[in-house]
Amino acid sequence: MKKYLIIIIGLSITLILITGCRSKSDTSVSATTSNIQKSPEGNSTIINFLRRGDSDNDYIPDNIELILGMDPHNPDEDDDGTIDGLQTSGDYGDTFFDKQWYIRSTGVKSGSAPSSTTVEGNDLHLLNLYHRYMGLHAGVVQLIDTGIDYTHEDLKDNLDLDLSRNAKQHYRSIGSPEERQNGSYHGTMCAGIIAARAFNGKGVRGIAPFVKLAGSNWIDSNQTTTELEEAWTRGDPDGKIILVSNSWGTPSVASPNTYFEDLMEYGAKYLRKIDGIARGKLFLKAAGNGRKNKHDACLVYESSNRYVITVASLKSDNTYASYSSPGSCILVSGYGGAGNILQLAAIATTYHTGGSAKPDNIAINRDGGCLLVRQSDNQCTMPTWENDDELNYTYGMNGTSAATPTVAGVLALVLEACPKLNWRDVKYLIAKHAIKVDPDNPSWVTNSAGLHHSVDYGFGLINGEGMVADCEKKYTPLPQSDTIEENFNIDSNISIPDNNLSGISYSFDVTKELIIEWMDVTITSDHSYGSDLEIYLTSPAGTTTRLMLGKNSARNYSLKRGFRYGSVAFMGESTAGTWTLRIADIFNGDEGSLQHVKFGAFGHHRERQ
Amino acid sequence: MKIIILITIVAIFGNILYANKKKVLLIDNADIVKSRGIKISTIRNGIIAEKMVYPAKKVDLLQHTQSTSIEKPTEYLFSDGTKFNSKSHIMIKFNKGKEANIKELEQNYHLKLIRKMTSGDFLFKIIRGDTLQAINAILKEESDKIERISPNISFNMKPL
Repeated sequence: MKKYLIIIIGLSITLILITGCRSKSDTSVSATTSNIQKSPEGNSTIINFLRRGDSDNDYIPDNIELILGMDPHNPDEDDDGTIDGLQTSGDYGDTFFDKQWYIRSTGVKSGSAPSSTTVEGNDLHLLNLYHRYMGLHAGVVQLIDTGIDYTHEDLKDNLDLDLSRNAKQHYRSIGSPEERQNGSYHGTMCAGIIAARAFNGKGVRGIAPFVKLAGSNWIDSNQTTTELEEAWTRGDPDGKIILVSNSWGTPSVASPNTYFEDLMEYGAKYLRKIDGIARGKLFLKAAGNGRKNKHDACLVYESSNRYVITVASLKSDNTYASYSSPGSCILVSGYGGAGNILQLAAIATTYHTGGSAKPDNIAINRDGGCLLVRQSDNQCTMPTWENDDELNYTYGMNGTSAATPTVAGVLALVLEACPKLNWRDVKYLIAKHAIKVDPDNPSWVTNSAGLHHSVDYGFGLINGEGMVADCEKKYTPLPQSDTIEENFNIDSNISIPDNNLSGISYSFDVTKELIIEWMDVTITSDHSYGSDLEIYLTSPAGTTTRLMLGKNSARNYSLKRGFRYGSVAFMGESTAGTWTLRIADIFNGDEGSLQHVKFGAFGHHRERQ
Repeated sequence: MKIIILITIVAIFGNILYANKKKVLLIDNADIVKSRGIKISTIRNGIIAEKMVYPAKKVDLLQHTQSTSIEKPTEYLFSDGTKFNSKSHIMIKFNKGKEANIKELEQNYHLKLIRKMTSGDFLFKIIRGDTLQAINAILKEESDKIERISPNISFNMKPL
């Protein structure tokens, strides 16, 4: 009797397993599909079961195919010879996907001009990730910008209006329909890069095309300090927002305001909750578009602190864009396209509904304000393709504003794969796996931990594939963090000679030991014009980085109360030993002395294996 | 009784006339100050310094006084384009380990605590007086307790 009972139980379990697993018969798939379509994006057991697979290798995870009513076992459903995940036509195709070279570069023109041809293979290498991750289970990405056109055909399905915020009205919405026309041009472009919906027969797709996106139009509002606090840290008590993309800044000033990093610290400690445990919200920040004006990205503390992920911009040829501001605080590069958007390859994305223009209807705006206007109605505009008849898209987005959402999109996929990574581990994995582009550029240095860094590129191009391969398998989280601080009073002030490229050297011995994740030196000087100073720092291991570009765009900023210069270039190195500062005044007319140096580092105590 | 009513009416008219005159004085004052700027104190790394701010244009105030009886706050502009106004909230972050007597601050500088912010700053509403003057006064007397103090600034960030 007992034997029969065991056999019956065994058979029952086998039957349950068989019916629960993916069936290869068409009938059972369509039956499953019909059930799941009733609760799209819900927590269906079967969807979760299938979430990590792509049975037909068509670059669409099975769970998403089921949600869309596609067949996860047929890689070319319309039988046109193009695999489903790369379609640009039909009900599931994204019309301009082949123009989105930053996702998949096939070497075609991205814009209208013949010179907008891209370099085949120079892209974010996302296709392998798309077998399993498209952002569906990633959480919510936040975009603080000018607002988002929440009625846009390619964005509306991915917007989380409950977590969005209208900074003008202080309520949870992105903006009125009128505002979307006037103010949302920039935010809508950034939004499309991250989260335009894929496989809907429309326009473009985002890098994480099924992630949820929450917007804020803070840039188009009064930009108050308290409203930024609300948007960054207070509007998400459940910690659903995984990261925030910030494509804004001040290109010409130096700002030692510690307010931003205090908010980021709160986000790192208490937000992005997984299973009730805070893993730390990620804060992404555009480096700036001021290279031609000698802007250094690290002149503002909001881009130069231990929490932030500061992003530089690459063109399709994998070199830095002509506008991309350099800096030792830059962690990583994304794709932001060329400066000349009418002639060279820029970024294809969404534009506010009906707002773009075909090339023959575009004129350069001679009156200031926006760069381009539509000849037919004199409205600010951006260029689109000849077959974008409803004028909802553009191929002309560029800037570190564009590069930052490309990194945001990739990190959404990484966090979908490895949601329990804390914010420090994400930053470390970015550094570890970033791709060294433009390898002959002299700005690259390789530190003693084997990590390559450049003031132009950070650690290189974001590499989501490498990060996921690491975090899913062998990655050991970083040990508990710690900070150290040491002060060095300079008894007899060291005079910095005016207009002298050699400058002065000052060495100091740090006795406390820490493995660096972030370091900074706060320099106090009575020099009357801080922007004249070019500053280099060499670590005990011999790694040198340029902490600050001399004769920079910040005009007059003061070191009299101390100015903090930060860097990620020494990540993985030890703090202990002799550090050497070199400070050169490279412009005539102002003088001063080095008076005090404070060394600070954030990291951990155990050497990683 | 008639005398009391008469005195009351005279007092009301007197107040209205005084208030109107005060507005004009304020406008004139703002215009004069604009030409030379006003200093606002700041503190960083324990050192107090002064920055220049410039009150809003006279025309803005005139437009406002004509359209409403409520006095519009004066707007102060920094040279980098950030701004605040004379009624902006005040944010104070106190030094670690330094006890802040909130009640005393509220009483001495006509403030009302709204809440503690996630940045660690205490956010105060200004009940009476001018935000700029209050900050200057607070820093003059309480700087040893304060890590940073600022009005609720409107930044001048641009899309990149």
